[in-house]
Amino acid sequence: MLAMVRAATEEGSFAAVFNAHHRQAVRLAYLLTSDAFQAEDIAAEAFAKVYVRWKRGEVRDVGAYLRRAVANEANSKLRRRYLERRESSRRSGDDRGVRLVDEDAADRDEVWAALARLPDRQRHAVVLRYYEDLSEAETAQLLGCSVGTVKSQVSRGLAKLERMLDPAADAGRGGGSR
Amino acid sequence: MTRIEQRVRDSLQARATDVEPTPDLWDAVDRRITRRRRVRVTAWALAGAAALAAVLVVPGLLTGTISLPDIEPITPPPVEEVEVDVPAEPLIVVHDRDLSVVTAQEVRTLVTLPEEGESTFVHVAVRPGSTLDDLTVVTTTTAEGFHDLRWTRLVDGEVVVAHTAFEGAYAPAAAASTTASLSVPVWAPDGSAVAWIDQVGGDATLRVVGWDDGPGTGDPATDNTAFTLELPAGVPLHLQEWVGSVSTVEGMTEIRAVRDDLTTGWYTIPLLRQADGAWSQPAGAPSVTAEPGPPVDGVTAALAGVTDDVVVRFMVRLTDVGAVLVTDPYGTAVSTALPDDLQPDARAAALWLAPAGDGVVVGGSEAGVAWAVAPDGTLTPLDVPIRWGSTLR
Repeated sequence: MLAMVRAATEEGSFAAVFNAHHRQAVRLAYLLTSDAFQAEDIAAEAFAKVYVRWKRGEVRDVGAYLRRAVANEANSKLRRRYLERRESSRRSGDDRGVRLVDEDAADRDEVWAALARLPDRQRHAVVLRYYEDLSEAETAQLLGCSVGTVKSQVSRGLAKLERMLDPAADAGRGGGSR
Repeated sequence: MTRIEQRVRDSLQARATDVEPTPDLWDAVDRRITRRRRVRVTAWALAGAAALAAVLVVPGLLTGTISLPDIEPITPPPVEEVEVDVPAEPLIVVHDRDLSVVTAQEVRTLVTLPEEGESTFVHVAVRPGSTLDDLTVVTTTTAEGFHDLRWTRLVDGEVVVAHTAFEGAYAPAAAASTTASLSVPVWAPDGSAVAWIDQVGGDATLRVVGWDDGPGTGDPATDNTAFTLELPAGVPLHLQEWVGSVSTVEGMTEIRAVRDDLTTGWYTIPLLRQADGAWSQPAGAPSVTAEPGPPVDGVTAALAGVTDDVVVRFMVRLTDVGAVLVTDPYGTAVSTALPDDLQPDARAAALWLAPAGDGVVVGGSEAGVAWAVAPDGTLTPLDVPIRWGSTLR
């Protein structure tokens, strides 16, 4: 409650910005990392970074800016991936992290399970292309890589998903691409 | 849309709608904003006090702790001592005829070029995997209009190979012609090869030389190779870094470069490592590709990132108000105006970046100065003459 009072006074309309975008930010972070604990951490860090620029009046499109901040935060987690996984495992059972409306739905979703097994860069590219509906050029700009790299990552990611989801069909095609 | 694309889209939408943020999220944002505000206040207090004192002691800064000078500040700083996250990692530097290491404790000259040769160092690139106990560097030197490549190795502080020139098949064109220019050398991420650009007239050639205790491996596949770069003539390309694992294609890497052609982005040179270790360029792909710049003002003069990361972490942008360091240019894009003594050098050929921890060192080769930039934007001059620098990684 104290936080909300502050939001109404000192931080002013940033609370409105938060209210308008926080759900989308957390969802994107969750899809990028497949990690409930990291999702909120990433979203909070992204909002804090956006706040600095927003307060100076440098952010024209908060949604796009926040998306970039979330993707960048998720990307930077790659380097700390091992430690984060260990921390996430250690904290399993506590009540932090996003809430899942249907706790079992994700477990029943075999596509989601396969997505979680993709290498981080492939999953980031796939999520940005098929969840955020970004173009290849927009995805490349957001990930700080070339368009060719995005094409390659998405193509390889989809091929790998197909193999994981339908190994029999893949075997029937002769094993598919490497 | 294919079936697998539709399944992925449906799954992502379903999982997204299954996620609800906790009520604690705003508190977490609030805590982070408060913490950042405190850091900024501290940094401003430090900067004001330091400016009044006009004295900064580099070894103290490099240890990460600064004791405020004993002065009467206009506005009393809120703290007596602050932690500043400036690089504590060793920086290998060249200046004039000296190759030195700058650490938290000292500035130590490792080798000095002989006076009679009248050569001076221009660039330095540290081989990945080097330590202060086993250090290999490639340097460019200049003498009487010629540019040359040399390498040096030190083990346990002792020079075992001293500034030996690249010779024969490995010699750069600029070693034999004063009309040829030589770029900054860059190392393959695993230290297995070193590359540079020979620019002769309008022709730019990327040279890649395998490394095995020195230039060349003796194996025809990996010993040395060259690639003609298809570029508009006239403006040289300046190599910045060689990045590994840029895509899921096995063996794909890229060398990143910038040009003084007012491009907003940068250039990539794709290099594919074959199963036998040979380097090639992907068939059918351009030898050099212009990449889009970040959505921030200016044109690119220098860039640097983490070797195994595809994201550019630092850029020097030339803007209407001068050279600016942009941290996280594709994310939060935090800008730091560079000091006046770096501004005359503000072009790609003269500026260099060396990531160090979470910060970066920015240098200007003509002014011979370098500044450490901490993650919070705090600038600290490295109080020794430095023409070019490279950190261990």
